[in-house]
Amino acid sequence: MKNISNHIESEYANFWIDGEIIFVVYKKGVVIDQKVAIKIVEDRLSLQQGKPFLVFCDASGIKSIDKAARNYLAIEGSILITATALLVNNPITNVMSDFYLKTSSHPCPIQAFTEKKEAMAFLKTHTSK
Amino acid sequence: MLTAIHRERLQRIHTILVEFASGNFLFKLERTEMEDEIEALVVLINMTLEEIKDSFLHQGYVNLQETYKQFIQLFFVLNMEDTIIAFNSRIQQLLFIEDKKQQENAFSYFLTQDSKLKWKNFKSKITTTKQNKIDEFLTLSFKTNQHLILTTNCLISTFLDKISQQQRLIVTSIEIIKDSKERELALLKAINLGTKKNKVQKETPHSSLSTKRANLGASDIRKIRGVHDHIMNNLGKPLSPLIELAHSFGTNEYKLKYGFKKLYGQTVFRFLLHERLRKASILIQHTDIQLKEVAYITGFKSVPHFSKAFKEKYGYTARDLRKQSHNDRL
Repeated sequence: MKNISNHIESEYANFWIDGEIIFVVYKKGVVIDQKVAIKIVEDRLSLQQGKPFLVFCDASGIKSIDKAARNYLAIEGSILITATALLVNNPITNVMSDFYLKTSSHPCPIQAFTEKKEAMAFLKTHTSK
Repeated sequence: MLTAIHRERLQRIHTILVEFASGNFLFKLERTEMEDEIEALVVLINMTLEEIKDSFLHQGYVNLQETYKQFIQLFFVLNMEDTIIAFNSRIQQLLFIEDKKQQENAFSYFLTQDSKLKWKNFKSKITTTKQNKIDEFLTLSFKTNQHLILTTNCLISTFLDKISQQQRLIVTSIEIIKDSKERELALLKAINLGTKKNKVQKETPHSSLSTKRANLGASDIRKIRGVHDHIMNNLGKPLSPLIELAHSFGTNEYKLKYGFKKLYGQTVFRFLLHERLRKASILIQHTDIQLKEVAYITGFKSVPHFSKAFKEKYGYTARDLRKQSHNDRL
């Protein structure tokens, strides 16, 4: 059992911190509009307590995300993030992540992966130690 | 072999692409619970439509960070003889109607010659076909008493006024804007400068949109976007003088100044200030980082400078926002 500190569960996602990484796992079938995006950023920041983190984001549960939400997540949603690894493992979230990475500008490194192992390896290259 | 259900899903994709090709961006495809390649295509089409719709609306180039709102632009209620029974107050502003007498004119009085004819044909069509319920789009050009033209896509509907037992016509048009204030100011500026802007044009036969644009090539746009991304990625650091910034991105100061304003609607330094404040606002609302630290990480040199700029942009102080957010969290 890993040492998992602090956990938040909302209607849309689960958040927890493990070491330098904050894990964000979206729930199945989540539809993200701007209101949901604001709540997600708010929950993440409340867990982080003002410290920057690496983000492991399992996006495979997302059903759809609109433009206003994409804009919000790309800008406001990147605050206090050192790097993000997105996990996508079905055709829908694949398309969404390709689209999101290409059309929004991202202030910090972000990459999509289909395997958790690769995603974690990517985050490791951005750790402070 | 495609099953019937997949064929139907593909058929809907064809339909929306045809709508899209004919300039209609209003529709979206309905999502299913499936997670296959067709569904991925549906997602891609919906998101692409959203992006393209917004880039068509943006007055400069592709707008990456705003969404839009719809407002009623024109709203007329007419009787079948074309007498105006009611209209929204915005019309007075848009068509520059000041005098009461003008308001008593028939609807077609406000139309250009071409549109008068179009309207006449439309009216004769509805009276001869005797359809009960009409909902039809018609692009009409309205002229103002200053000989400017406003072309807009109107929805014409009929209804039966139960009190008078007479048929009435409704003419409505919707306007889509980014920020009403910004647009109104831009319009005011354009009118003052005597330039033709947006859909309001001088009445000349076959007049075309001829707003002056900066002569920016694709590579200039790419460079300016590079500057934009550089600013977004370095909000906490001081920004180099424009001339240095321009040179490091392979362009010149004039192009950067002019092009940035065109692309993002504000000057480089104003944009930087707004983005810093936007970030600060989130940090104030959702973290416990001290205000002076927030000012520092968002690139402000002094707390008083930060406080003043914050109050100016949002109308409330950073301290008040922190207090409010703190109360909300309890």
